[in-house]
Amino acid sequence: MAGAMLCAAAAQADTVGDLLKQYETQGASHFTAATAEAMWTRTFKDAKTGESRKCATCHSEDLKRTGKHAVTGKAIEPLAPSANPKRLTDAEHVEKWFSRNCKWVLGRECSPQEKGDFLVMIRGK
Amino acid sequence: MRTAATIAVVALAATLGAQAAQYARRDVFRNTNATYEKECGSCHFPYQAGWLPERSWRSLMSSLSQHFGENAELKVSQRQELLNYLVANSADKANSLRSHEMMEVIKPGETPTSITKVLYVGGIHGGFLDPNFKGKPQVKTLADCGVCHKKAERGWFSPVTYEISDEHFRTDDVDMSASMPAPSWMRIGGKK
Repeated sequence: MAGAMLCAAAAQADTVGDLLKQYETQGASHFTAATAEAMWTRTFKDAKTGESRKCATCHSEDLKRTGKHAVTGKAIEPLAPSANPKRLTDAEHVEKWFSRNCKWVLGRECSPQEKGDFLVMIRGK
Repeated sequence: MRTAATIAVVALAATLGAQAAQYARRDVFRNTNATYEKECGSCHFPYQAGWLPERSWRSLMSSLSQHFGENAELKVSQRQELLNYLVANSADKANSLRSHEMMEVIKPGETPTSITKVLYVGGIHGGFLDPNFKGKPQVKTLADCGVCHKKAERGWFSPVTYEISDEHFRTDDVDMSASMPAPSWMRIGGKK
């Protein structure tokens, strides 16, 4: 069990580190958790439906808690690695959900800078 | 205080028994593709391929960026893998009674994309979304099959019982003003 946790922690470090390096080559730098924290609770209006959306709509304000899909109500496992060690261990998974969820909340893709800020913020939870 | 009457839903039980013999399976075939369960099941109930015909799956899988108002895009290779799987096991190909009954309800010119809106599913469950329904379970959408059908993920949508409040049957729930007035010969006192 402890071994598995260690492995997950190591995988996390690799995955996040590699992604941050990748974002830096795309022009991002100096990632800060505080910027992401502010973004996390900011409300955006969906251009089509007019409804208010934010990250916390589905993931809940507290990243250690289980979230809930806004439409289907399906449980979304906690984002915080301390509560869910599987998080931030699969770069492809991370990128896929950045792409989908940034479009849902912001109506556009997140920039490499924003993605890096989010990763640093989530990693610390 | 709420006393609850329990009503059993026994859908076509007698005919089912007689017809089941000519099909390999009575209910939908369970999911056999792990990618499908993971990718689609992370947001909603992973509906088995046998719930919709090929044309519906093609339509759904070619509009994932607008998936019921959500962005559900997949990698091209993954999308193709899932489409192939869904098509091969779609309702018009699956040798199951459930899929066959689904196909009987869907008209040839229709391409439904919402399983819960097809009358075969939506009709029998519509009462749960009625604002007057005060029983159990309380559901927001019909997409959460597993709330009642505990073995739904394994492709078994057995008839289940649910509770409905007595209040539901009270006549003041019904707007009588909307109904047609009785003809004069039916009224007390007879014809005038």
